[in-house]
Amino acid sequence: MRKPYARAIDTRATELLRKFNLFNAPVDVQAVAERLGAAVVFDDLDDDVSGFLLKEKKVATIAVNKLHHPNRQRFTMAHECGHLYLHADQGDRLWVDKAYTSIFYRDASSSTGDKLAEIQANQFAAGLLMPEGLLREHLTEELSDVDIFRLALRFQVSEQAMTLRLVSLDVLESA
Amino acid sequence: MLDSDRLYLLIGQNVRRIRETQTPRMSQEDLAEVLGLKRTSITNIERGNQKPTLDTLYRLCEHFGLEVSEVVPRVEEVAHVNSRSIVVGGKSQEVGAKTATLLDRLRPPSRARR
Repeated sequence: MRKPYARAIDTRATELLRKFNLFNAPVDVQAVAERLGAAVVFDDLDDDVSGFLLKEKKVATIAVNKLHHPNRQRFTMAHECGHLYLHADQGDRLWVDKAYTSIFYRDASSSTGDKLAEIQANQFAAGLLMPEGLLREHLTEELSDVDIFRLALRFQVSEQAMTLRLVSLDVLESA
Repeated sequence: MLDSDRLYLLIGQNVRRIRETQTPRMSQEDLAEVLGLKRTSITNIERGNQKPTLDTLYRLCEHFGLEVSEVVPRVEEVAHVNSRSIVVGGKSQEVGAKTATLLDRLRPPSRARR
């Protein structure tokens, strides 16, 4: 079962997409970022950096590592949208999204609050790229690996991201 | 600056990959026996939560016929040779050279801003 906080973040992502009239697959995540007021730049970043959100003096910029896979770039944009939208109260800040940082990875330098913020941004990203309402329209009775592959293509996300999402929505059983 | 967390995370991932790609797939117990460690140590090493000794790494290489360079990452993968401190909103953080360069472009020095 999904945790209540995850459901609440999903709802906020869906509401945002409907408000922006972007509730279609694949979700135009760059348009979401821009409608939230961020400029999006694609650049050559360090290997271990997926992207960042820079918020300073009321100007927001999302940078995406253009050397990463296009699906990864979309996830990065969605993740930074999460920081922009969910953590708007944080004031001037630089959020750097490290490619190898999973939510299971314990980084001694990050505080509990920062770790929670990363989990929330990931949850938001999943909800933004794979809204439950849109996903359910594309579901078949029995999901084969090929179906998951097609879903991933349809939503322009990695198969891994799609599988995780389907598990978290209780559509698939965890392996 | 050396990113020690990343170093051991990458070594751990390599150890796991080496173990899992054996045919038949090798268990953590079996690898523990080869290396003279407890199974929980293998779990921790693979997760980057325990630092394997050089002795352990060489034993691993000896057993699987590998070079140490196939188990440990290249220096540039774990060291941000040109990492810099960037201060935003009063908070300082280390970023790599390329990321710092883009940030410089996005944030001209305050004197030039007006």
